[in-house]
Amino acid sequence: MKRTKSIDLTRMRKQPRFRVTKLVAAVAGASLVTGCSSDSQDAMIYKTLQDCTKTNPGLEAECKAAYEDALEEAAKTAPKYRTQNDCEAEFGRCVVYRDSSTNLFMPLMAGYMMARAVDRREYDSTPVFSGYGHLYGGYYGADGTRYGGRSSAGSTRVSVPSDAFKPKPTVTRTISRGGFGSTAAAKSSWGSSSRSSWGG
Amino acid sequence: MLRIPVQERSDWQQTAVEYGFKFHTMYGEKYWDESAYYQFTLKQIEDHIEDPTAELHQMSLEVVDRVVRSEELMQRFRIPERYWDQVAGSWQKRDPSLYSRLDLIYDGVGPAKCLEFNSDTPTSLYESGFWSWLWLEQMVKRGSLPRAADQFTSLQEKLISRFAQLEQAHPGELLHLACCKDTEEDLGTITYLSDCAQAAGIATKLIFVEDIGHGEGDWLTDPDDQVIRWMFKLYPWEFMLREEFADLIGASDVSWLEPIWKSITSNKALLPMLWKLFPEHPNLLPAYFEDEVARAEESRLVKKPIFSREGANISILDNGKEVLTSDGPYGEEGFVYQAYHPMPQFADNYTLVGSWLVDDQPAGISVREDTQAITQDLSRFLPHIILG
Repeated sequence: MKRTKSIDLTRMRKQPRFRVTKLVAAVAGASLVTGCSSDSQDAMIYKTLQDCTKTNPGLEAECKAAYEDALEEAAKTAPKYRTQNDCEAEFGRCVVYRDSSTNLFMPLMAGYMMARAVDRREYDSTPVFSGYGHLYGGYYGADGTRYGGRSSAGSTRVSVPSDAFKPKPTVTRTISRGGFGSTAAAKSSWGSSSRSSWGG
Repeated sequence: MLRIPVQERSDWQQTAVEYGFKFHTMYGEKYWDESAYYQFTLKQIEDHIEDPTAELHQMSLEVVDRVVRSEELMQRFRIPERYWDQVAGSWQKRDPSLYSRLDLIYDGVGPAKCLEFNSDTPTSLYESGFWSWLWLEQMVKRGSLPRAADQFTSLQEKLISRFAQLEQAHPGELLHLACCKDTEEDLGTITYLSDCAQAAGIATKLIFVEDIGHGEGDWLTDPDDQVIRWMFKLYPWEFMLREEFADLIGASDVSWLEPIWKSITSNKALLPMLWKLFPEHPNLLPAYFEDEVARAEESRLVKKPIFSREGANISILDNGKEVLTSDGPYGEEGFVYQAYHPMPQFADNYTLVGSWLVDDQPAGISVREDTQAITQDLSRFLPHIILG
Protein backbone atom coordinates (compact mmCIF):
# COMPACT_ATOMS: atom_id res chain seq x y z
CA MET A 1 0.00 0.00 0.00
CA LYS A 2 1.42 3.37 -1.04
CA ARG A 3 -0.90 5.49 1.05
CA THR A 4 -1.28 6.28 4.74
CA LYS A 5 -2.80 3.19 6.32
CA SER A 6 -5.29 4.89 8.52
CA ILE A 7 -6.16 8.40 9.60
CA ASP A 8 -8.00 9.32 12.76
CA LEU A 9 -10.83 11.27 11.15
CA THR A 10 -12.17 12.70 14.38
CA ARG A 11 -8.81 14.39 14.88
CA MET A 12 -8.99 15.88 11.40
CA ARG A 13 -12.51 17.29 11.75
CA LYS A 14 -12.58 21.00 12.45
CA GLN A 15 -15.18 23.03 14.24
CA PRO A 16 -17.01 25.00 11.56
CA ARG A 17 -16.68 28.13 13.64
CA PHE A 18 -12.86 28.09 13.65
CA ARG A 19 -11.86 31.67 12.91
CA VAL A 20 -8.58 33.27 11.93
CA THR A 21 -8.87 36.02 14.50
CA LYS A 22 -9.06 33.51 17.33
CA LEU A 23 -5.99 31.79 16.03
CA VAL A 24 -3.76 31.71 19.06
CA ALA A 25 -6.38 30.92 21.63
CA ALA A 26 -8.09 28.31 19.52
CA VAL A 27 -5.13 26.08 18.87
CA ALA A 28 -2.75 26.66 21.74
CA GLY A 29 -0.95 23.46 22.61
CA ALA A 30 -2.73 21.07 24.85
CA SER A 31 0.04 20.15 27.24
CA LEU A 32 0.85 23.73 28.21
CA VAL A 33 -2.68 24.71 29.03
CA THR A 34 -3.09 24.64 32.78
CA GLY A 35 -5.90 24.99 35.20
CA CYS A 36 -8.44 22.50 33.88
CA SER A 37 -7.18 19.62 35.91
CA SER A 38 -9.09 18.61 39.01
CA ASP A 39 -6.38 16.20 40.15
CA SER A 40 -4.13 17.43 42.88
CA GLN A 41 -1.03 16.13 44.58
CA ASP A 42 0.92 16.76 47.75
CA ALA A 43 4.20 18.58 47.49
CA MET A 44 6.70 20.21 49.83
CA ILE A 45 8.01 23.75 49.56
CA TYR A 46 11.50 24.29 50.98
CA LYS A 47 12.97 27.71 51.50
CA THR A 48 16.56 26.51 51.26
CA LEU A 49 18.55 23.43 50.33
CA GLN A 50 19.23 22.88 54.06
CA ASP A 51 15.51 22.88 54.80
CA CYS A 52 15.13 20.04 52.34
CA THR A 53 18.02 17.93 53.60
CA LYS A 54 16.95 18.49 57.21
CA THR A 55 13.47 17.15 56.46
CA ASN A 56 14.70 14.33 54.21
CA PRO A 57 17.79 12.67 55.63
CA GLY A 58 19.35 10.41 53.03
CA LEU A 59 17.99 12.46 50.14
CA GLU A 60 20.83 14.98 50.02
CA ALA A 61 21.60 14.34 46.34
CA GLU A 62 17.93 14.57 45.36
CA CYS A 63 17.46 17.79 47.34
CA LYS A 64 20.49 19.32 45.68
CA ALA A 65 19.45 18.30 42.16
CA ALA A 66 15.92 19.61 42.73
CA TYR A 67 17.29 22.89 44.05
CA GLU A 68 19.61 23.37 41.08
CA ASP A 69 16.88 22.50 38.58
CA ALA A 70 14.56 25.01 40.21
CA LEU A 71 17.22 27.71 40.13
CA GLU A 72 17.80 27.15 36.42
CA GLU A 73 14.08 27.04 35.73
CA ALA A 74 13.54 30.28 37.67
CA ALA A 75 15.89 32.21 35.37
CA LYS A 76 13.98 31.04 32.34
CA THR A 77 10.38 31.19 33.41
CA ALA A 78 10.09 33.79 36.19
CA PRO A 79 8.10 36.89 35.25
CA LYS A 80 10.35 39.66 33.91
CA TYR A 81 9.91 43.35 34.70
CA ARG A 82 11.21 46.50 33.05
CA THR A 83 11.99 48.20 36.38
CA GLN A 84 13.01 47.02 39.82
CA ASN A 85 10.06 48.91 41.30
CA ASP A 86 7.52 47.07 39.17
CA CYS A 87 9.05 43.79 40.18
CA GLU A 88 9.26 44.62 43.88
CA ALA A 89 5.64 45.76 43.93
CA GLU A 90 4.59 42.17 43.28
CA PHE A 91 7.43 40.08 44.70
CA GLY A 92 9.27 42.17 47.26
CA ARG A 93 12.80 41.00 46.54
CA CYS A 94 14.06 41.12 42.98
CA VAL A 95 17.30 40.58 41.08
CA VAL A 96 18.68 41.56 37.70
CA TYR A 97 17.87 39.01 35.02
CA ARG A 98 20.81 37.46 33.12
CA ASP A 99 23.15 40.40 32.75
CA SER A 100 22.66 44.07 33.34
CA SER A 101 22.63 44.84 29.61
CA THR A 102 19.11 43.50 29.31
CA ASN A 103 17.81 45.81 32.07
CA LEU A 104 15.21 43.36 33.22
CA PHE A 105 14.30 42.33 36.73
CA MET A 106 12.88 39.12 38.05
CA PRO A 107 11.83 37.98 41.53
CA LEU A 108 14.36 36.22 43.71
CA MET A 109 13.54 32.54 44.08
CA ALA A 110 11.99 32.24 47.53
CA GLY A 111 12.26 28.48 47.64
CA TYR A 112 11.46 25.43 45.61
CA MET A 113 8.64 22.99 45.48
CA MET A 114 9.40 19.31 45.26
CA ALA A 115 7.37 16.12 44.93
CA ARG A 116 8.01 12.54 44.02
CA ALA A 117 7.14 12.12 40.39
CA VAL A 118 4.24 9.82 39.63
CA ASP A 119 5.40 6.43 38.25
CA ARG A 120 9.04 7.30 38.76
CA ARG A 121 11.62 7.21 41.49
CA GLU A 122 12.78 10.72 40.64
CA TYR A 123 11.63 14.02 42.10
CA ASP A 124 10.02 16.91 40.26
CA SER A 125 10.88 20.41 41.27
CA THR A 126 9.87 23.93 40.35
CA PRO A 127 10.80 27.38 41.69
CA VAL A 128 8.43 29.31 43.94
CA PHE A 129 8.31 33.04 44.54
CA SER A 130 7.08 34.93 47.54
CA GLY A 131 4.31 37.43 46.82
CA TYR A 132 4.21 41.05 47.97
CA GLY A 133 1.64 43.82 47.73
CA HIS A 134 -1.62 42.32 46.44
CA LEU A 135 0.09 38.92 46.32
CA TYR A 136 1.31 39.21 49.92
CA GLY A 137 1.46 36.08 52.03
CA GLY A 138 1.52 33.46 49.30
CA TYR A 139 3.93 31.21 47.44
CA TYR A 140 3.55 31.52 43.68
CA GLY A 141 4.78 29.65 40.64
CA ALA A 142 6.40 31.33 37.63
CA ASP A 143 3.06 31.49 35.82
CA GLY A 144 1.33 33.16 38.77
CA THR A 145 -0.38 30.08 40.20
CA ARG A 146 -0.74 30.32 43.97
CA TYR A 147 0.63 27.18 45.62
CA GLY A 148 -0.19 27.99 49.22
CA GLY A 149 0.33 30.37 52.11
CA ARG A 150 3.82 31.37 53.13
CA SER A 151 4.87 30.20 56.55
CA SER A 152 7.77 31.05 58.78
CA ALA A 153 8.83 27.40 58.81
CA GLY A 154 11.55 26.25 56.40
CA SER A 155 9.30 23.61 54.92
CA THR A 156 5.60 23.79 54.06
CA ARG A 157 3.32 20.98 52.91
CA VAL A 158 0.98 22.07 50.11
CA SER A 159 -1.62 20.49 47.89
CA VAL A 160 -1.16 21.59 44.29
CA PRO A 161 -2.68 20.77 40.89
CA SER A 162 -1.08 17.72 39.31
CA ASP A 163 0.22 19.86 36.46
CA ALA A 164 2.09 22.21 38.77
CA PHE A 165 5.42 20.68 37.72
CA LYS A 166 4.79 20.89 34.00
CA PRO A 167 7.36 23.16 32.33
CA LYS A 168 6.28 26.80 32.23
CA PRO A 169 6.75 28.86 29.10
CA THR A 170 9.85 30.99 29.02
CA VAL A 171 8.80 34.63 28.91
CA THR A 172 10.53 37.89 28.29
CA ARG A 173 9.52 41.45 27.46
CA THR A 174 9.03 42.17 23.79
CA ILE A 175 10.84 45.28 22.56
CA SER A 176 9.31 45.46 19.10
CA ARG A 177 7.26 43.45 16.62
CA GLY A 178 6.90 43.37 12.88
CA GLY A 179 10.52 42.66 11.98
CA PHE A 180 9.49 39.76 9.79
CA GLY A 181 6.94 39.85 7.00
CA SER A 182 7.90 43.06 5.21
CA THR A 183 8.98 41.33 1.99
CA ALA A 184 5.66 39.56 1.70
CA ALA A 185 3.83 42.81 2.36
CA ALA A 186 5.83 44.62 -0.33
CA LYS A 187 5.37 41.89 -2.89
CA SER A 188 1.67 41.42 -2.27
CA SER A 189 1.01 45.03 -3.27
CA TRP A 190 1.93 43.86 -6.76
CA GLY A 191 -1.56 43.15 -8.05
CA SER A 192 -2.53 39.99 -9.88
CA SER A 193 -4.87 37.08 -9.65
CA SER A 194 -2.50 35.69 -7.04
CA ARG A 195 -4.03 33.73 -4.23
CA SER A 196 -1.24 35.21 -2.12
CA SER A 197 0.43 32.17 -0.69
CA TRP A 198 4.03 32.67 0.43
CA GLY A 199 4.69 29.02 0.00
CA GLY A 200 4.90 27.47 -3.40
CA MET B 1 -0.87 7.57 -16.87
CA LEU B 2 -4.44 8.41 -17.81
CA ARG B 3 -6.83 11.24 -17.14
CA ILE B 4 -10.23 9.80 -16.37
CA PRO B 5 -13.36 11.95 -16.00
CA VAL B 6 -15.48 10.91 -13.02
CA GLN B 7 -18.62 11.95 -11.16
CA GLU B 8 -17.88 14.34 -8.31
CA ARG B 9 -19.00 13.30 -4.85
CA SER B 10 -22.32 15.07 -4.42
CA ASP B 11 -21.49 16.07 -0.83
CA TRP B 12 -17.84 17.03 -1.16
CA GLN B 13 -18.40 20.72 -0.40
CA GLN B 14 -20.13 19.78 2.85
CA THR B 15 -17.30 17.42 3.69
CA ALA B 16 -14.84 20.24 3.04
CA VAL B 17 -16.67 22.40 5.60
CA GLU B 18 -16.63 19.56 8.11
CA TYR B 19 -12.86 19.12 7.77
CA GLY B 20 -12.02 22.80 7.53
CA PHE B 21 -10.76 22.69 3.94
CA LYS B 22 -11.48 26.27 2.98
CA PHE B 23 -9.43 27.06 -0.07
CA HIS B 24 -10.94 24.54 -2.49
CA THR B 25 -12.26 27.52 -4.45
CA MET B 26 -10.20 30.69 -4.72
CA TYR B 27 -11.11 34.01 -6.27
CA GLY B 28 -14.14 32.37 -7.81
CA GLU B 29 -12.01 29.75 -9.53
CA LYS B 30 -11.97 26.05 -8.89
CA TYR B 31 -8.80 24.88 -7.15
CA TRP B 32 -9.81 21.41 -5.96
CA ASP B 33 -11.14 19.63 -9.03
CA GLU B 34 -12.54 16.11 -8.69
CA SER B 35 -14.32 16.06 -12.06
CA ALA B 36 -11.45 13.83 -13.20
CA TYR B 37 -8.54 11.90 -11.70
CA TYR B 38 -5.20 10.69 -12.95
CA GLN B 39 -4.46 7.00 -12.99
CA PHE B 40 -0.89 5.67 -12.69
CA THR B 41 0.48 2.16 -12.66
CA LEU B 42 2.52 1.04 -9.65
CA LYS B 43 5.55 0.74 -11.89
CA GLN B 44 5.15 4.34 -13.06
CA ILE B 45 4.90 5.53 -9.48
CA GLU B 46 7.79 3.50 -8.10
CA ASP B 47 10.26 3.44 -11.00
CA HIS B 48 9.53 6.75 -12.68
CA ILE B 49 8.67 8.98 -9.75
CA GLU B 50 9.51 7.58 -6.32
CA ASP B 51 13.05 6.35 -7.00
CA PRO B 52 14.14 9.40 -9.03
CA THR B 53 12.69 11.65 -6.31
CA ALA B 54 14.85 10.03 -3.64
CA GLU B 55 17.87 10.31 -5.91
CA LEU B 56 17.24 13.93 -6.91
CA HIS B 57 16.92 14.81 -3.26
CA GLN B 58 20.29 13.23 -2.45
CA MET B 59 21.79 15.07 -5.40
CA SER B 60 20.45 18.36 -4.06
CA LEU B 61 22.16 17.64 -0.73
CA GLU B 62 25.44 17.20 -2.57
CA VAL B 63 24.96 20.65 -4.01
CA VAL B 64 24.43 22.03 -0.49
CA ASP B 65 27.67 20.38 0.58
CA ARG B 66 29.52 22.11 -2.28
CA VAL B 67 27.92 25.50 -1.87
CA VAL B 68 28.60 25.91 1.84
CA ARG B 69 32.33 25.37 1.18
CA SER B 70 32.59 28.02 -1.50
CA GLU B 71 32.28 31.77 -1.12
CA GLU B 72 31.86 32.09 -4.86
CA LEU B 73 28.88 29.74 -4.82
CA MET B 74 27.32 31.36 -1.75
CA GLN B 75 27.53 34.54 -3.78
CA ARG B 76 25.91 32.93 -6.80
CA PHE B 77 23.08 31.67 -4.59
CA ARG B 78 22.61 35.26 -3.34
CA ILE B 79 22.94 34.29 0.31
CA PRO B 80 23.77 37.55 2.13
CA GLU B 81 27.42 37.38 3.21
CA ARG B 82 26.77 38.03 6.89
CA TYR B 83 24.77 34.75 7.07
CA TRP B 84 27.22 32.49 5.25
CA ASP B 85 28.62 31.00 8.47
CA GLN B 86 25.16 30.38 9.79
CA VAL B 87 24.02 28.57 6.66
CA ALA B 88 27.22 26.52 6.57
CA GLY B 89 27.00 25.75 10.30
CA SER B 90 23.41 24.60 9.98
CA TRP B 91 24.45 22.19 7.24
CA GLN B 92 27.54 20.96 9.11
CA LYS B 93 25.37 20.18 12.13
CA ARG B 94 22.87 18.55 9.74
CA ASP B 95 20.01 20.49 11.29
CA PRO B 96 17.01 18.23 10.69
CA SER B 97 14.54 18.98 7.91
CA LEU B 98 10.85 18.23 7.67
CA TYR B 99 9.55 18.08 4.11
CA SER B 100 9.98 19.15 0.47
CA ARG B 101 8.30 18.91 -2.90
CA LEU B 102 9.89 18.49 -6.32
CA ASP B 103 7.96 19.49 -9.41
CA LEU B 104 8.31 16.99 -12.23
CA ILE B 105 7.34 16.99 -15.88
CA TYR B 106 6.12 13.47 -16.45
CA ASP B 107 3.97 12.04 -19.22
CA GLY B 108 3.76 8.41 -18.13
CA VAL B 109 6.49 7.27 -20.49
CA GLY B 110 9.77 9.14 -20.58
CA PRO B 111 11.95 9.82 -17.57
CA ALA B 112 10.45 12.46 -15.28
CA LYS B 113 12.25 15.78 -15.65
CA CYS B 114 12.80 17.86 -12.56
CA LEU B 115 11.49 21.37 -13.09
CA GLU B 116 12.23 22.72 -9.64
CA PHE B 117 12.62 22.09 -5.93
CA ASN B 118 10.32 23.57 -3.30
CA SER B 119 12.18 22.56 -0.22
CA ASP B 120 11.66 25.54 2.08
CA THR B 121 7.96 26.45 2.02
CA PRO B 122 5.97 23.95 -0.04
CA THR B 123 2.19 24.28 0.05
CA SER B 124 -0.67 22.08 -1.22
CA LEU B 125 0.33 19.75 1.59
CA TYR B 126 -3.13 19.31 3.10
CA GLU B 127 -4.71 18.49 -0.25
CA SER B 128 -1.96 15.96 -0.93
CA GLY B 129 -1.62 14.38 2.50
CA PHE B 130 -5.21 14.31 3.64
CA TRP B 131 -7.92 15.63 1.34
CA SER B 132 -6.99 13.42 -1.66
CA TRP B 133 -6.65 10.46 0.69
CA LEU B 134 -10.18 11.06 1.96
CA TRP B 135 -11.48 11.33 -1.61
CA LEU B 136 -10.11 7.86 -2.45
CA GLU B 137 -11.42 6.41 0.81
CA GLN B 138 -14.95 7.66 0.07
CA MET B 139 -14.88 6.85 -3.65
CA VAL B 140 -13.96 3.24 -2.90
CA LYS B 141 -16.49 2.96 -0.09
CA ARG B 142 -19.26 4.21 -2.39
CA GLY B 143 -18.31 1.82 -5.15
CA SER B 144 -17.20 4.57 -7.55
CA LEU B 145 -13.68 3.17 -7.68
CA PRO B 146 -12.44 -0.43 -7.42
CA ARG B 147 -11.16 -1.76 -4.08
CA ALA B 148 -7.78 -2.40 -5.65
CA ALA B 149 -7.26 1.32 -6.23
CA ASP B 150 -4.35 2.71 -4.24
CA GLN B 151 -2.77 6.16 -4.07
CA PHE B 152 0.75 7.45 -3.50
CA THR B 153 -0.06 9.49 -0.41
CA SER B 154 1.91 8.44 2.64
CA LEU B 155 2.56 12.05 3.65
CA GLN B 156 0.46 12.14 6.78
CA GLU B 157 1.84 8.90 8.17
CA LYS B 158 5.40 10.00 7.44
CA LEU B 159 4.94 13.53 8.79
CA ILE B 160 3.63 12.17 12.08
CA SER B 161 6.50 9.75 12.48
CA ARG B 162 8.99 12.46 11.48
CA PHE B 163 7.54 14.76 14.15
CA ALA B 164 7.79 11.95 16.68
CA GLN B 165 11.47 11.64 15.78
CA LEU B 166 12.07 15.38 16.04
CA GLU B 167 10.33 15.47 19.40
CA GLN B 168 13.14 13.36 20.87
CA ALA B 169 15.44 16.38 20.62
CA HIS B 170 12.74 18.71 22.04
CA PRO B 171 11.04 16.81 24.86
CA GLY B 172 8.10 18.76 26.23
CA GLU B 173 8.95 21.78 24.10
CA LEU B 174 6.29 23.90 22.44
CA LEU B 175 6.43 24.04 18.63
CA HIS B 176 5.40 27.39 17.18
CA LEU B 177 4.09 27.34 13.60
CA ALA B 178 4.02 30.62 11.71
CA CYS B 179 2.59 31.88 8.44
CA CYS B 180 1.65 35.27 6.99
CA LYS B 181 -1.63 37.00 7.71
CA ASP B 182 -4.48 37.03 5.20
CA THR B 183 -3.75 33.78 3.47
CA GLU B 184 -6.25 31.04 4.03
CA GLU B 185 -4.07 28.60 2.12
CA ASP B 186 -0.93 29.12 4.20
CA LEU B 187 -2.95 28.99 7.41
CA GLY B 188 -4.44 25.72 6.17
CA THR B 189 -0.94 24.35 5.63
CA ILE B 190 0.38 25.18 9.09
CA THR B 191 -2.86 23.99 10.70
CA TYR B 192 -2.34 20.66 8.98
CA LEU B 193 1.28 20.47 10.15
CA SER B 194 0.11 21.36 13.64
CA ASP B 195 -2.42 18.49 13.50
CA CYS B 196 0.38 16.10 12.51
CA ALA B 197 2.71 17.41 15.23
CA GLN B 198 -0.02 17.05 17.86
CA ALA B 199 -0.68 13.50 16.71
CA ALA B 200 3.00 12.89 17.49
CA GLY B 201 2.52 14.27 21.01
CA ILE B 202 3.93 17.75 20.43
CA ALA B 203 2.27 20.82 21.91
CA THR B 204 1.80 23.48 19.23
CA LYS B 205 0.84 27.11 18.87
CA LEU B 206 -0.02 28.91 15.64
CA ILE B 207 1.14 32.49 15.17
CA PHE B 208 1.53 34.99 12.35
CA VAL B 209 4.96 35.88 10.98
CA GLU B 210 4.13 39.60 11.27
CA ASP B 211 3.42 39.23 15.00
CA ILE B 212 6.80 37.76 15.92
CA GLY B 213 8.55 39.99 18.44
CA HIS B 214 12.10 40.86 19.41
CA GLY B 215 12.28 39.98 23.09
CA GLU B 216 14.79 41.39 25.55
CA GLY B 217 17.77 39.11 25.75
CA ASP B 218 17.69 38.77 21.94
CA TRP B 219 14.94 36.21 21.87
CA LEU B 220 12.11 35.92 19.40
CA THR B 221 8.73 36.09 21.12
CA ASP B 222 5.16 35.22 20.27
CA PRO B 223 2.17 37.53 20.84
CA ASP B 224 1.98 36.36 24.48
CA ASP B 225 5.64 37.32 25.10
CA GLN B 226 6.51 33.67 25.27
CA VAL B 227 10.01 32.89 24.04
CA ILE B 228 10.09 30.92 20.77
CA ARG B 229 12.49 27.98 20.96
CA TRP B 230 11.33 25.74 18.15
CA MET B 231 9.50 27.01 15.10
CA PHE B 232 8.17 25.94 11.76
CA LYS B 233 7.88 28.96 9.49
CA LEU B 234 5.97 28.93 6.23
CA TYR B 235 7.94 31.97 5.16
CA PRO B 236 10.90 31.85 2.79
CA TRP B 237 14.44 32.10 4.14
CA GLU B 238 15.37 34.44 1.31
CA PHE B 239 12.82 36.93 2.67
CA MET B 240 13.79 36.47 6.32
CA LEU B 241 17.49 37.06 5.64
CA ARG B 242 16.67 40.48 4.19
CA GLU B 243 14.34 41.74 6.91
CA GLU B 244 14.74 43.76 10.08
CA PHE B 245 14.94 40.79 12.47
CA ALA B 246 17.42 38.85 10.32
CA ASP B 247 20.23 39.16 12.88
CA LEU B 248 17.99 37.62 15.54
CA ILE B 249 17.79 34.40 13.53
CA GLY B 250 21.19 33.39 14.84
CA ALA B 251 21.17 35.27 18.15
CA SER B 252 17.83 33.86 19.32
CA ASP B 253 18.93 30.23 19.16
CA VAL B 254 15.65 28.97 17.70
CA SER B 255 15.55 25.46 16.22
CA TRP B 256 14.08 26.15 12.80
CA LEU B 257 11.96 24.03 10.54
CA GLU B 258 12.92 24.15 7.77
CA PRO B 259 16.58 24.65 8.73
CA ILE B 260 18.44 27.61 7.25
CA TRP B 261 20.56 25.39 4.97
CA LYS B 262 17.41 24.99 2.90
CA SER B 263 18.02 28.51 1.63
CA ILE B 264 20.32 26.65 -0.78
CA THR B 265 17.99 23.87 -1.95
CA SER B 266 14.96 26.16 -2.33
CA ASN B 267 16.95 28.49 -4.54
CA LYS B 268 16.68 28.28 -8.34
CA ALA B 269 20.48 28.49 -8.57
CA LEU B 270 20.27 24.85 -7.50
CA LEU B 271 19.22 23.92 -11.05
CA PRO B 272 22.44 24.96 -12.88
CA MET B 273 24.50 23.53 -10.02
CA LEU B 274 22.78 20.15 -10.32
CA TRP B 275 23.45 20.13 -14.05
CA LYS B 276 27.14 20.91 -13.40
CA LEU B 277 27.52 18.13 -10.84
CA PHE B 278 25.34 15.57 -12.59
CA PRO B 279 25.49 16.41 -16.32
CA GLU B 280 23.20 14.39 -18.56
CA HIS B 281 21.32 12.92 -15.63
CA PRO B 282 18.08 11.53 -17.10
CA ASN B 283 15.89 13.35 -14.58
CA LEU B 284 17.53 16.75 -15.01
CA LEU B 285 17.07 19.42 -17.61
CA PRO B 286 20.16 21.35 -18.75
CA ALA B 287 20.40 24.58 -16.76
CA TYR B 288 22.71 27.57 -16.75
CA PHE B 289 23.64 30.58 -14.70
CA GLU B 290 23.10 33.95 -16.35
CA ASP B 291 26.78 34.37 -17.30
CA GLU B 292 26.93 30.91 -18.85
CA VAL B 293 23.82 31.03 -20.95
CA ALA B 294 25.84 31.69 -24.12
CA ARG B 295 27.04 28.10 -23.83
CA ALA B 296 23.51 26.74 -24.00
CA GLU B 297 22.92 24.62 -27.08
CA GLU B 298 19.17 24.54 -26.67
CA SER B 299 17.19 26.98 -28.79
CA ARG B 300 14.33 27.12 -26.30
CA LEU B 301 15.06 28.17 -22.75
CA VAL B 302 13.02 29.05 -19.71
CA LYS B 303 14.23 32.04 -17.76
CA LYS B 304 13.46 31.89 -14.04
CA PRO B 305 14.24 34.32 -11.22
CA ILE B 306 16.65 32.94 -8.59
CA PHE B 307 13.95 33.67 -6.03
CA SER B 308 10.35 33.34 -7.06
CA ARG B 309 7.10 31.77 -6.01
CA GLU B 310 4.18 30.20 -7.81
CA GLY B 311 5.40 30.58 -11.39
CA ALA B 312 5.89 34.35 -11.22
CA ASN B 313 8.28 36.23 -13.54
CA ILE B 314 9.03 33.27 -15.78
CA SER B 315 9.72 33.70 -19.51
CA ILE B 316 10.03 31.18 -22.30
CA LEU B 317 12.74 32.22 -24.77
CA ASP B 318 12.93 31.05 -28.36
CA ASN B 319 16.43 31.74 -29.70
CA GLY B 320 16.72 34.51 -27.14
CA LYS B 321 13.32 36.02 -27.91
CA GLU B 322 10.54 36.00 -25.33
CA VAL B 323 7.54 34.05 -26.58
CA LEU B 324 5.62 33.64 -23.34
CA THR B 325 6.01 35.41 -20.05
CA SER B 326 4.34 35.64 -16.64
CA ASP B 327 4.37 38.77 -14.49
CA GLY B 328 5.38 39.08 -10.94
CA PRO B 329 7.37 41.00 -8.36
CA TYR B 330 10.54 38.88 -8.56
CA GLY B 331 13.80 38.91 -10.42
CA GLU B 332 15.93 41.60 -8.80
CA GLU B 333 18.48 39.02 -7.58
CA GLY B 334 19.07 37.66 -11.07
CA PHE B 335 17.93 34.70 -13.16
CA VAL B 336 18.83 31.18 -14.18
CA TYR B 337 18.03 29.46 -17.46
CA GLN B 338 16.66 25.97 -17.91
CA ALA B 339 16.17 24.02 -21.14
CA TYR B 340 12.55 24.12 -22.23
CA HIS B 341 10.78 20.79 -21.95
CA PRO B 342 7.18 20.54 -23.13
CA MET B 343 4.63 19.68 -20.49
CA PRO B 344 2.35 16.78 -21.30
CA GLN B 345 -1.20 17.68 -22.20
CA PHE B 346 -4.20 15.74 -21.03
CA ALA B 347 -7.58 16.93 -22.37
CA ASP B 348 -6.13 20.36 -23.21
CA ASN B 349 -4.57 20.79 -19.80
CA TYR B 350 -0.89 21.10 -19.00
CA THR B 351 -0.13 18.64 -16.23
CA LEU B 352 2.54 18.88 -13.55
CA VAL B 353 3.40 16.24 -10.96
CA GLY B 354 4.49 17.34 -7.49
CA SER B 355 6.56 14.72 -5.70
CA TRP B 356 6.76 14.93 -1.93
CA LEU B 357 9.47 13.97 0.50
CA VAL B 358 9.41 13.82 4.27
CA ASP B 359 13.02 14.34 5.26
CA ASP B 360 14.70 12.15 2.63
CA GLN B 361 11.86 9.70 2.00
CA PRO B 362 9.50 9.99 -0.96
CA ALA B 363 6.02 10.37 0.50
CA GLY B 364 3.49 10.83 -2.27
CA ILE B 365 2.52 12.87 -5.27
CA SER B 366 0.09 15.59 -6.23
CA VAL B 367 -1.18 16.45 -9.70
CA ARG B 368 -1.86 19.99 -10.82
CA GLU B 369 -3.36 21.15 -14.09
CA ASP B 370 -3.29 24.49 -15.80
CA THR B 371 -4.63 25.76 -19.07
CA GLN B 372 -1.35 27.70 -19.44
CA ALA B 373 2.10 26.23 -20.01
CA ILE B 374 3.45 28.06 -16.96
CA THR B 375 1.84 26.51 -13.90
CA GLN B 376 0.73 29.36 -11.72
CA ASP B 377 -1.09 29.87 -8.52
CA LEU B 378 -4.48 29.42 -10.15
CA SER B 379 -3.80 25.92 -11.38
CA ARG B 380 -6.19 23.20 -10.28
CA PHE B 381 -5.41 20.28 -7.99
CA LEU B 382 -6.70 16.85 -9.11
CA PRO B 383 -6.72 13.54 -7.24
CA HIS B 384 -4.94 10.44 -8.51
CA ILE B 385 -5.05 6.69 -8.06
CA ILE B 386 -2.71 3.77 -8.63
CA LEU B 387 -4.21 0.82 -10.47
CA GLY B 388 -2.34 -2.03 -12.08
